[in-house]
Amino acid sequence: MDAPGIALLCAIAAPLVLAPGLWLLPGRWGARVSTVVLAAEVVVFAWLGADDAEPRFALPWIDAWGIRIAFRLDSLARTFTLLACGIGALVFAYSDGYMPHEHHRHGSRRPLRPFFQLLLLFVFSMLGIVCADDLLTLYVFWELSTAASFLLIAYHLREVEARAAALHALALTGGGGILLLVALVVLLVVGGASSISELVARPAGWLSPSPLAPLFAFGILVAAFAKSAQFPFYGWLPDAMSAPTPVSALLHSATVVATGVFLLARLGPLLADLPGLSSTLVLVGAATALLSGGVALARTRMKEMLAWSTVCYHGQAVLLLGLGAESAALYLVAYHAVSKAGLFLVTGSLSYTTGADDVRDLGGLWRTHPVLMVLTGILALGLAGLPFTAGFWMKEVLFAEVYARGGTPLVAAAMAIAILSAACLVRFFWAVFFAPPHVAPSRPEPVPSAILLAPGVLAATSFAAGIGPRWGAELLVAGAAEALHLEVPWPWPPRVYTGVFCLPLGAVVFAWLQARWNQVEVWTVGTVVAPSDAVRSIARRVGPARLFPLWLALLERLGAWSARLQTGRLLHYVVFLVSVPVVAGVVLLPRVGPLPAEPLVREADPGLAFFGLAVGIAAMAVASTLVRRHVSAIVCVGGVGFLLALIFALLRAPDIAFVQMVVETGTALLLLAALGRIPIRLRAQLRRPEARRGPTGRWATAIVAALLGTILGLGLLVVVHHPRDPALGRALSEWTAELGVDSVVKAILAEFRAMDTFGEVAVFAAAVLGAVLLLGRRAERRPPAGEAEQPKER
Amino acid sequence: MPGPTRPSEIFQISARLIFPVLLLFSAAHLVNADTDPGEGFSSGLLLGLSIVLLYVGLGVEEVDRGMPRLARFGVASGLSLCIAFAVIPLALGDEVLHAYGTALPLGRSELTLSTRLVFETGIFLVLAGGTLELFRRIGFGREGEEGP
Repeated sequence: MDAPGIALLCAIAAPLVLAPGLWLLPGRWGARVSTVVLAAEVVVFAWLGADDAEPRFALPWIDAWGIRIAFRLDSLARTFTLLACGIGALVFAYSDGYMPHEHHRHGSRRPLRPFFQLLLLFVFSMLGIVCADDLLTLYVFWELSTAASFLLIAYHLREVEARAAALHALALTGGGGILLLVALVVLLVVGGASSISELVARPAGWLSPSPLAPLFAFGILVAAFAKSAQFPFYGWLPDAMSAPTPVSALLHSATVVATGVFLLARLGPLLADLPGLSSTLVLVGAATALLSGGVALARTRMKEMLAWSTVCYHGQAVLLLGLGAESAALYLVAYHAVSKAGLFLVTGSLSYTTGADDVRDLGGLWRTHPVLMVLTGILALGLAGLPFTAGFWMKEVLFAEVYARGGTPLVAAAMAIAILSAACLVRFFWAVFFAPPHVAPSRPEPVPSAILLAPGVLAATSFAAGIGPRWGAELLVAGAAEALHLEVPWPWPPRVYTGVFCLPLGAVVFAWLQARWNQVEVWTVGTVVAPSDAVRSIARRVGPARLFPLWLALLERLGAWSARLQTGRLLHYVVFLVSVPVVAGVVLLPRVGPLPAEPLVREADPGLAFFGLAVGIAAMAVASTLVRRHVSAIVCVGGVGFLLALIFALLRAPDIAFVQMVVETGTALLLLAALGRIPIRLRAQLRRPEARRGPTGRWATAIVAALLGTILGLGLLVVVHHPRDPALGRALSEWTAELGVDSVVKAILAEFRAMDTFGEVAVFAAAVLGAVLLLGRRAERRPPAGEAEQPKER
Repeated sequence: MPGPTRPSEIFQISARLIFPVLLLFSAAHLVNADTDPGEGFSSGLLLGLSIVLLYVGLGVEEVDRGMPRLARFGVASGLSLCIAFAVIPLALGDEVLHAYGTALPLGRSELTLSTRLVFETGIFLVLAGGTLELFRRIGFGREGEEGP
């Protein structure tokens, strides 16, 4: 393992290590230290990836399938690590000043530390995704990011909206994650290798002959579309705006949404082979961008507008990927991430100073907040494509690709998309700073400089990337910058005119709508607003978006059905427990062939004592059914267990005897203790079930017990008489000697089935936890204690 | 048995007397895990039960005053030990749950040392802590009108 590889691993793991470290730091230092660490990571990743060096790290994981924990920092990964760490650092710096306000608004008194820890976990998962060089590593981090974003979106746990939004996001991105796993497994099986760099580097066309290729394409597309909020799955992103603003800035501009595009870019060479795929990407991207651009225009909450506009820009990125312009798509995603993160942070600052989050409540702020206005202007108008901002270059690149590779319909669609996305951002800028305020102007507080710093840095980056396009592209997308043509030839070709006129056209569209909306007050009427809303509602009714509620309903149905098994009545549990072995015995026992007459397990001749114990066991068992008091019955059952332990001891199995003894004691004590929880008056009523159920109940119980006993006895006979391979015994004892363990039982327990032992311990811990939760609750209906939580016997 | 009464003096004294023996037995049973009959599962259960015996004999408050909160930390720390045992060999390039051991010559006999003891200790802690927690909740919780 070389030094850069180790450094890469350390850089990826740093946020994960830092997260628990925050417990050691006093409250607000967490954010500051995280800021510094992430800023340092920017430098580290930039340095590691400099000069096209590709540090790699690999650790074998599942050798048999060639699966490793592997990371590689190529230029694609470098772009995204820089984005995640850079924007992450700024978001942390911003949260330090902003989050107390967010907590105040939501009436939360929780400490902030868990928030920062979750953010760090999220950054970690993001770094893992983009650097992963192994299919399974990629998948693990992908799911980790789904989980982390779920927790972050649901941060305001007490709010129904936040929980619903988090569920929505989880259902879509998590479902996409499962399909991603399917796709990756297909790739693993067909390709026979798990290294992404190796799979991607193969000569084109190796995947398409496989009959599984469509499955692969389907899985990848759905996963990427769900994560990137593309057409059928775009609903979750705007919902997720109920997350705290810094979370929106990090998750929904720079990272989660971008991972979908990242995935498509990462596996691009494989996807390029598949027929029909690029046109799918173009169609989905264009549809997403058009729809979401329209919807964005009709929204009034600031974060929602920005969220829909985010969907719109990622639609453009997918469109570019479909055209095969990977570097253009990356440039778009990277520049958009910087600007949109800045805009989200500005939104947070606006709500900080004015307490409003709806553009209708804002307006005329240019007088009081000139700094915010300048920042928003740079970010929003830059993104909208003001000439000689990076947004202009972005449009220029987009139109260059569209003109070069697409037909007239695509050019028209791209123009519409550009105009819509520009109009939305112009509207945002105008409505907040220049529009006459609709309500009485709120009393704006001054914005603390701490929460202006982060959007300021982002705006400066965005501005600089526009002034020096080559430099900006180098900064944002590194290696991919080579493929971009960031010079405008003179005289201007038509595409440049198209790009230049998009912003004014967008402004005109906005002004026209603005005039109409003001007349009919449609600002407030969400229903008539835009045709896209109608389209959306149709899509919701008949389209694939209907899948989400359907799926949710199915999951809920399943949950309710499985909850119905938990009736809380002892009798039902007993019936269930008894019927499983009975059915299994009835099905399996007739299939056993003829058995040798002599049992094979006869190593010790226990003699008379053995029979004495057997008689004692039988007597105890009969007695337990005859005694009237519960306590006596428990003692009798315990007696059976103890006598059995003696039999084990006679058969020279001291450890089994010991376990039997301890478990029997524990069970009897637990039953007695559970009995102690039942008040005496109640206990007298249910002295014995037969007393209530009469002779019929008694006979039914007897028959069930006899049936179970017969089945278990027959099963035991079969096991004892079953012929065994003597080679197995020899192998076992040799293996035991090899391990340096004395007894075969020990070797089996601790080595051969160590994983089972491990699992049993976990099950026991989970059972204890469940019992504690049940018993700890002050409920009227007492849980059926004692019967469910006996120590598990091995 | 009407009401939560204290058990007889004989029971109290025998509980005090038996407890150290059980403790020793449980510890020996655990440490012997590698060579002789013995393992974490039953010794943990035994420890839990012997503390329950003390609970019955001396009362929960009295016992809790002199004893670390095994019930609270046993399960968590035990599971952590088990997980550490399972995962650490991966980092060292071995398979999951691999045990490292050595035998030291000790006079005429030899002393077998193995990291499997960590695993058994983890199981031991989970079982002891879990049993104790279960009994505290069922038998000695605030709702218990009557001791067993």
